[in-house]
Amino acid sequence: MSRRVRRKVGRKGKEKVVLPSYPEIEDEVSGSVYNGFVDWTGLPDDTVIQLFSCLNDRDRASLASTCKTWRVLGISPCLWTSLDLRAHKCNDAMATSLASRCVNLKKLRFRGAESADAVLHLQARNLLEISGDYCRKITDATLSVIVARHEALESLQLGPDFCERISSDAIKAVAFCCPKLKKLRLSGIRDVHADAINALTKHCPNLTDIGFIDCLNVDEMALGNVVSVRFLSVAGTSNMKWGAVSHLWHKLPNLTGLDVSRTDISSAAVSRLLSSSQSLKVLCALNCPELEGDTNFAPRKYKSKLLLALFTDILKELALLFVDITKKGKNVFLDWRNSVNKDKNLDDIMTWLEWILSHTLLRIAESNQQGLDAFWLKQGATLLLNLMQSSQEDVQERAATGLATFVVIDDENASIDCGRAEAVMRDGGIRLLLNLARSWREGLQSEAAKAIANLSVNANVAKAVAEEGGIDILAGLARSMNRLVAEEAAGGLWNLSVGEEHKSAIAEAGGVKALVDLIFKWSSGGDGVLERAAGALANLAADDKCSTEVAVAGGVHALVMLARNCKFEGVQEQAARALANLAAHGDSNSNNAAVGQEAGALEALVQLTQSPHEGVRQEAAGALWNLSFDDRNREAIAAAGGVEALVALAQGCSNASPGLQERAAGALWGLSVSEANSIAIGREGGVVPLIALARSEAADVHETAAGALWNLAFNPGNALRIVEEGGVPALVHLCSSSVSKMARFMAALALAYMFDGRMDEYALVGISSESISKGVSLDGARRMALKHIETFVLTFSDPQTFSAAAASSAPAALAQVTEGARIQEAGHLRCSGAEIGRFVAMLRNPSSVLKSCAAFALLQFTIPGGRHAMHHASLMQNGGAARVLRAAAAAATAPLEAKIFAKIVLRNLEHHHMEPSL
Amino acid sequence: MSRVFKLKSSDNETFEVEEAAALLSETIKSSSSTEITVPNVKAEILGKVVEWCNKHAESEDTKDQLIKEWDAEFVSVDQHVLFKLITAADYLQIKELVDQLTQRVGDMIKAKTLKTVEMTYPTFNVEREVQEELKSLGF
Repeated sequence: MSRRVRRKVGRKGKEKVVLPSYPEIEDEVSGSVYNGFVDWTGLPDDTVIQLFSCLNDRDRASLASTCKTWRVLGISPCLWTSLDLRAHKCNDAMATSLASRCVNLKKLRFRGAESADAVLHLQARNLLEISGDYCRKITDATLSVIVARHEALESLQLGPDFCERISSDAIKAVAFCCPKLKKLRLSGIRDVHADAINALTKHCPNLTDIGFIDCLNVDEMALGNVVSVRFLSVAGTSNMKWGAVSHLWHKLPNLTGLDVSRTDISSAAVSRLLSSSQSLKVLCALNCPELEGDTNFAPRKYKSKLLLALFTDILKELALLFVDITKKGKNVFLDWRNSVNKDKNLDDIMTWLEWILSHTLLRIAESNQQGLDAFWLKQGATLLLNLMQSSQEDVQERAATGLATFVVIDDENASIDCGRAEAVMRDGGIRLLLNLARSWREGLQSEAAKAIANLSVNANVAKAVAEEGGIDILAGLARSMNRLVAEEAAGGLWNLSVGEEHKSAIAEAGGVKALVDLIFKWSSGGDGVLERAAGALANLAADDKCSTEVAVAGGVHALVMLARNCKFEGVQEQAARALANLAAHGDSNSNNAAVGQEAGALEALVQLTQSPHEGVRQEAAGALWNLSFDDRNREAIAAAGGVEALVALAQGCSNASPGLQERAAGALWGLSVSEANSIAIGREGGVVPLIALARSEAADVHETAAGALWNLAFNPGNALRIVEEGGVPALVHLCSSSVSKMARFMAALALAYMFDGRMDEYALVGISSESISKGVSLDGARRMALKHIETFVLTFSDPQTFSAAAASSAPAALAQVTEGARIQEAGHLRCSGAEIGRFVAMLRNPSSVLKSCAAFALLQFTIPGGRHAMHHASLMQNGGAARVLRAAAAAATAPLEAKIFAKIVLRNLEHHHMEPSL
Repeated sequence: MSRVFKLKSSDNETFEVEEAAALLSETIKSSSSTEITVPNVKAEILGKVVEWCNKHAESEDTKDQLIKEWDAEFVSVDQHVLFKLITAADYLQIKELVDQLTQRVGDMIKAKTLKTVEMTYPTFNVEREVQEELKSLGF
């Protein structure tokens, strides 16, 4: 049989599933199927090694642990040519355990001085390249030993963090020990003396690439003698004598690329270098104030030499390097990377340029200078995106970090520049970043995730990220075993979870579970991850549906654990905020009660209200406020010392932010719902600070304080305290002039409680001596209060609709009065039987003002559609209020408002009475 | 005049392949005959390999987006087929195809934790020594 093949490949191969029951399979490749699984150990060895090479070391390790053969293959020297230890806290023991694999190690990246100390134990004597960052603490001794043990070293890079403790002595050691050195780039060294540079000249004949970046003093005379150097960067280095430089360095016979970015080089020096050096091809002078400030300096074209500066078109300049390429402009990097005909010289220049440009752009972005807007929009963003596609991993990482940094214009408030963010998006940056985030390299994953996170502060970018599948990617990265990756991914989810748009997508992508798991995984020693995870969960918990998912995923336990155990303030703040949001859906799910039942939760939150950090205090008070909506939680908070703590918080917050003031008052409002707590608050001294907060200009603050005072005033003892502490003028002021209807309403009700007679009896019984001594006249206060209550109620009575309603009891007329009187938010207030009873009793008060006020209040509490209207109506029916209402509505002497409001309340009661039978 | 190669599967089905496609295989290239039997590879798999070779022989630019998409679809098969394709491509020494297939396996493994890998791959003896070593690596 013979045939030509033109078969279509089945989609996903679904129709071609080879079932394990096929009898022939066993003889095809022995043992290829194992209990229905494919036995991958049957793969040829070289293919397995290739498979390992597509994975990062973490995945390699897990794969190598599957069987003996693969474990042996996993240590093949060819897989261990390069090692990135940056995500690990590498100690001696760990390095020793890796030593057997590192015989042929060529490239090593590490982070931090501790890891530097451990490098020796890898015993990787054949290392060619070492690159370290966060080396502030690395010493001369450590560096000297490292270079002494790695004599084959060709490249040594330490930075971009400053190497403050490294001196010229260590550089001399490098020169003596590493004769094959080609590349030396060091950042932030105080003094690079002539003897160190001379040692390099003498002992390292192959040294072609030197960077003394962000140093303080570099001996420019000695650098003029390093004849081997082709590429030199002194970017950010201060105290250079540019006059001397321009007379010396042009004699360097091989100098091809020179980077003087971020220095005070003068235009004269630039001109001289460009005109007199024979070999120089590219002079990079980005962000040099002297040069940019010289208005007479015209970047004259020097024959076949490029000047890259903020005021030149960098991509266009670079295109001039390519004589044979017709496509120019924005694609110069791409064209170069894809070009078939390789020119070694050109490749060296471009590779070097990628590195120094990424470095300089990141530094400029970090410095957040003013006046660079045009540069970033016109070419900075494009350059960073170009560099992100480099084949050098560290360039890609730095470009991504640069993108993450340059959009942020205010770190404190996390505000980003919209124009810049959208410039990144316009150039296809989101897709590029997401592709990087998908890479197997963890360094790229974390930097790309960081950029996506920062850019997503902009709503349009966030939308693009979501549309391009970014939420799935971030949720995936949040599950990473690498802390740095997980941290940035959680940050991305935090920013995307702001607002309503992407919350459900995050939940669908498994983000909620991933974030909760992060908290358990890094519960000790990962403050950054924890803060971001808790912050994201806090945003997600603001949504009713997501908050249920957070609870199902174990989020309550996780967040309470953070609130209890974590010592880092950022984490405490976000955990408390998350708990506050979880508890904010009291009507629709049981999270509120669930938080209270978690052991130690309420105690921890009470503790946090005493934190030295204002944000923590604020969110903890907010959480307690929300939690106190649940009756059991409310009493448990009080039992845990909540009253004392919150009174103390209110006392100490006179200069705090409105956010904290509002929550402190709110938490007291919540607790004061029960009279026992109310009494305790009064006893602890809560009245004075609440009166102070009621005087606040901020509506949110004084409204909340009015609510708390209203609850407190129910108790005659507290009412008297409020009078004594000067609360009457404060409440009168609120009642007459707050911008918030609710604040006016609650202030009026507080005053009504204070002057309906109960306090007078209480005052007569005994403790009035104090009030007399303070010179408070109860009668005067009462007159003032009643006058303002009356005015308040009258603002809701339009004479025309009232006379219409008085003339006929037609539903339409009454409905119109209701509409005019209605305070929307009052529908959320819930009164106890005692409170309702008190208003009913007030209907019979001799004061016509209090009669009207009581009828007005009952009207608000019973308007059909209000959240607790049914509850209030049934309380009133049980208390026989209807009789009192009818009397009030019919009384000859009562004011018109009281009569009409009472009539409406009666109708409301009828409505609610009818409702269940409908 | 280009030659035609005949590839015979282990279940005795013969595929005729044009020279340009056949020579993508180093094994065929170094063979003296134009009739080659491929042991251990059945028609179902060999047919797929031949299809891949034909596609790649007729496409000039392998970096082209269209062929990339075609390749992506080609390797989107279940584990059983993937395994057999790798074995076949390895035997025939078609480097690019081996690259693509192993990359696909790598992608399937990526970002999975040890636990998931254990579920997908039959686990033999994870030696204590290895576990401890992993722990010391911070995994």
